Amino acid sequence: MAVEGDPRASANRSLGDAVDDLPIFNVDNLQSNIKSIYYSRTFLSIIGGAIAGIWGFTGLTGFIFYFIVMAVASLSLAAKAKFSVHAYFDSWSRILVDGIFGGLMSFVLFWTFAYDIVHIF
Amino acid sequence: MPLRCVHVPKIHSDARFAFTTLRFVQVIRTCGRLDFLSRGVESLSPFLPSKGTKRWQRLQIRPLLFFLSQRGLCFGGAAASMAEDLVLDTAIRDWVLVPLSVVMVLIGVLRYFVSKLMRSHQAPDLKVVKEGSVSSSFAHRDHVPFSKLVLLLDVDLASLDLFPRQVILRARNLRAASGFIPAKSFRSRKTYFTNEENGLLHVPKGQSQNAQAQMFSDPNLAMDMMKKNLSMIIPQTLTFAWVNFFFSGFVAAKIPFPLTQRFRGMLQNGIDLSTVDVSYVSSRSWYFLNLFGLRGLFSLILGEENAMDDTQRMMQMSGFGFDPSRSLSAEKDGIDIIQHDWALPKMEKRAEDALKKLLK
Repeated sequence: MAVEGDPRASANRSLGDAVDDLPIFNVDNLQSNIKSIYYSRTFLSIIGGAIAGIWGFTGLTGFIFYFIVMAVASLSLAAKAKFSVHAYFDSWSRILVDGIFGGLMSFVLFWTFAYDIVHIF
Repeated sequence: MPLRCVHVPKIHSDARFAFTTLRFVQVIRTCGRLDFLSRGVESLSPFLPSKGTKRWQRLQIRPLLFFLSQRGLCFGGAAASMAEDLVLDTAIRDWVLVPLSVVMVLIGVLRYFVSKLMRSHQAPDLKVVKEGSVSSSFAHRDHVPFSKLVLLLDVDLASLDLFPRQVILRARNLRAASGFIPAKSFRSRKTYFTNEENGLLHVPKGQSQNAQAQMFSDPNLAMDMMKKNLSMIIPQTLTFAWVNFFFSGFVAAKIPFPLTQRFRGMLQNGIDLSTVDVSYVSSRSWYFLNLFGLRGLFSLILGEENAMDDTQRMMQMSGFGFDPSRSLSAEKDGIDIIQHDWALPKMEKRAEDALKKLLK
């Protein structure tokens, strides 16, 4: 599953200043990191949808597959950030759960499409 | 079981009926059970438009079983037993699914470029630029999905006028960065903003009402709003009408997960057979699926701007009864209650700790 292969995922730049009592962030870098997460999740939902369709997952299996793919994506993103999430993002939730439901619709669309093309038609 | 033509609605008039009808054949050349249908097909031939018959005979056919029932032919229980595993015509895939998706992608791209061309670039007023010292990246971003993620913002600023927007951003920066400036300068900035007489954030009571009216009457802003609205609504409406006209009356796709019976009315609106599994949906639901699912694709191929966030836009439109004075007073309250906490002593301690660690 090409998480690291996505060129946009490589832009995990580190943030600015003191992250002590005052969590202040370099907004541009934070935004670019968030953007790269969003792109990689979207890309993965599309690819995952196509794969789920081709393999013929139906019903709950497909959704479980989607969440597995998202979990693998989160894990890889955390690994890419060298597990020190606070150097790159403002909270754990950003890297773990953000954007999962946004990608769900794209997943369902491509899942339906691939499933129909391969198995029904 | 003999085939009975119960009711065959308007067969001659529309080309679409001819097109789709001519697709049918026989499931059952492949599985011999329902062989009677072959007889049914021939019995139907007088009803087909005369210029179509040759084409019909020439076409290679695959089953479109319940489609027969849709056009009013009944064939008894055989349909129900096959309802689990309908095999659909390849032509549906070629001529319905793929073109519909392609058309929606192209319309999205077209709309992106058209809105880019039509966006009237207002050169920001000099007075406004002087007042606001914030980065302009905030000012021109309208509905990027990450706007909700940026820490300081809890209100959607896109619908605001330029001048209050800058002031609010400055106030927010002040709130967020209050720890970096000494107490005296923080206080002076605070009074600059919240001063009762001429503080930037202070809005006298009488003025708060007509801010909204002003926003409506401002022709540029209204025109902008309308353009954004139109550029979004018109392609959607047209595409929906097109889908309804050409692609109704047959099963278009099968969604891979089962749904309850309640969704039947929503997803299968062109199909009149009630024993077909709810997973088999009409092309209207394929249209809606595309509508929501292609947003992600658009954000990938069109860059981060104008990723077709229709739901966000609709929320923006509905939240239009928003006036800037309310957010100004909210900012004022925010600044008032903040406790200034200068970070410099802590920084010294931190530097000391870091040095100690290095020397160890």
